[in-house]
Amino acid sequence: MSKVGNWQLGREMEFPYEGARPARQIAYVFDTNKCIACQTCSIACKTTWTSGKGQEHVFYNNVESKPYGFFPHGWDVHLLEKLGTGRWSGGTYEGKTVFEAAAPNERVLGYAPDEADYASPNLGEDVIAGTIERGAFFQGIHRAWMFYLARICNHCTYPACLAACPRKAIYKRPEDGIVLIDQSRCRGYRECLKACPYKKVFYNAITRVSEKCIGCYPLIERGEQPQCVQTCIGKIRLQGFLSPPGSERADNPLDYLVRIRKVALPLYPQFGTEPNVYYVPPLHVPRDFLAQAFGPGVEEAAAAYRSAPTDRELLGALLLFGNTPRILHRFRAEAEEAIGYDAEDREVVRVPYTEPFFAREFFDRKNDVYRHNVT
Amino acid sequence: MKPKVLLAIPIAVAVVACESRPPATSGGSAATSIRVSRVAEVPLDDVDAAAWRSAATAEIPLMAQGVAYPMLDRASVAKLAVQAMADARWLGIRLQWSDPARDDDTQVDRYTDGVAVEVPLRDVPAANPMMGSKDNPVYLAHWKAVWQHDVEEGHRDVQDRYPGFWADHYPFASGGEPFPVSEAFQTSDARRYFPATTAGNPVSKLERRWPVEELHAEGFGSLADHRFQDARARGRWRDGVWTVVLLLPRAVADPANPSFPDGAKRQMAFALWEGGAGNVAGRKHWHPFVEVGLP
Ligand code: SF4
Ligand code: SF4
Repeated sequence: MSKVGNWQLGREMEFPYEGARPARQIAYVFDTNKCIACQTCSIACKTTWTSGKGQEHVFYNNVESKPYGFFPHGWDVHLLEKLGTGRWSGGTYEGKTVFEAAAPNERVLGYAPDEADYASPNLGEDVIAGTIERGAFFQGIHRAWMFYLARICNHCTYPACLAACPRKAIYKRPEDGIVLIDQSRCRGYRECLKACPYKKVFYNAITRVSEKCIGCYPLIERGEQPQCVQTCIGKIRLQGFLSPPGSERADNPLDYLVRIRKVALPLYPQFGTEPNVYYVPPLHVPRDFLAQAFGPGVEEAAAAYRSAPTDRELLGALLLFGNTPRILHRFRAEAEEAIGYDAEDREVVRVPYTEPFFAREFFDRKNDVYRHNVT
Repeated sequence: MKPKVLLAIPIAVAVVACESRPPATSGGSAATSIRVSRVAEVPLDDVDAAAWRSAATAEIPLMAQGVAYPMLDRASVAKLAVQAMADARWLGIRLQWSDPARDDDTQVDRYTDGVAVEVPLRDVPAANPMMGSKDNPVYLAHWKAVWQHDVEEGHRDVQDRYPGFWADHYPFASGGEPFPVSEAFQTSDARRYFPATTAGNPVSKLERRWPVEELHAEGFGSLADHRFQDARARGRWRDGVWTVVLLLPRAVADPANPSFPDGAKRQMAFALWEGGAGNVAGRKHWHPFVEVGLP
């Protein structure tokens, strides 16, 4: 085991390989407050990559309702139970990661789901945590809660899937940090599947090898954001690149949101893989649940998010979500608009803070017709 | 990322007499080597062919692999009964072991039974029985129950596992429901959703002629299949016992194959996977090199 730095844990941790951060790391921000569980992302991904025979249960992208939705069933609660309680002291995680808690005969603490755990991708959808007190439903605010959690491979800085593969058929691209399974070398051992804490490796029983999200690398290579990001109806997603810790740039939207304003947090950072999908936590969910899921930065993230309406820069960065297919490498918040630039520093998007408002008469005199939502 | 170096620990060889049942074989021998009898033709059609009755049996005790990750924490199969016969063309190895279940399918949580023999290609005393090394590569012949099923009954399709399964559409597939893998996905467009098959991965072949694969290894994680596949095999599970016959070519032009000429002495190591016990990859049983004496 080597010692590697994990900024999400505020400490060094054990990992089977020496640390080798990519020059820039593919990363995403998902704003859970905006997701409507339309599953457009799931379908866009599935249509593009996993529509084959043997891939019926494969969802590189899935959207589950927390707290009772899971895919595969129980993926996070099973691992949390195995890992046991781990405490945070300030920003430092004092418990064990999946690498540190591994059994002597394995590299990573994990488990293989049952076949049946993949049978119900939408189990628990829209199920709320608890019942609503009598009458509360009509009174507006009530205590029952749920939220939608959109999930893809985290293209982890320290991928558990890669650590567990005895064949070294999994690699992390040095140019962008995308984690891939070499489809010509994988022998279907499923060690990666057991090891991935997020259960984002899938077994294809027709080709008899493991498959995972490829970060839409053909799009990334031509400067475009992945399918799940481009097609997101709720505009909850932004994909870009994180700079290595210590070289963050305030005008890089990913660095700004994740490392500088800390408005978006990793999912289950305690697993120790340094996942690179960052979530703006849902504001209305109990804090202890959020602290378990997103670590100790929840209060700070929520406070920053709440300040966005009066914070031009933060608002500008958040408004860039879902407004361009291009990958944004730089952004600028001007008086009325946020502007995004591509890798060549060309302006590719301009978003007003306030969308122009047009009021239309209910009755269209010219066409002698009443206007409805669809006209 | 730089891999950590793992050192193989040499483990003592022990081959003891076999009078046990199962595996039910006659002619048990206390030798620490495998004696190869000479026959006119090594039978493959019937793994219980009469010729095997007179062949000596070496009983190979099996250990849980505990050198490389992932390791097997507990051995569930104690021993492997090994017999050998040679004709002019083939070295036949018959392997028998107890296994309460025939595990010949793979799924997310289901693993195949399997057995493999390993023969060093060069400097024998220095060869590492754990997948060889860069300087001393090894040859492997690997039989899997899932491949035995492939050759006998065809590649399992989705509907073989879930008979009621129905899908209205697979992109570029021809024909209609149930879109059999063996028929509906013949074009390169249709095969784009079988990425490993399209990438030429040998484990992802949709058609298979023999349930055995010849491989080459130069250390952990280096396993690669041979361009020319010369070995033959047949396996059968009955009443809690697997019997597998491997036919290894005695001499082929392929330099990645060992040769087994008359009178030669070769080393052979063994690996075994009990799918029902979750054995896969390094989670396997094994035994280091045993001498195989050709007649
Ligand atoms: S989320 Fe899982 S599959 Fe993706 S890089 Fe991390 S460990 Fe690997
Ligand atoms: S497309 Fe966007 S809004 Fe719709 S479910 Fe996916 S992440 Fe949520």
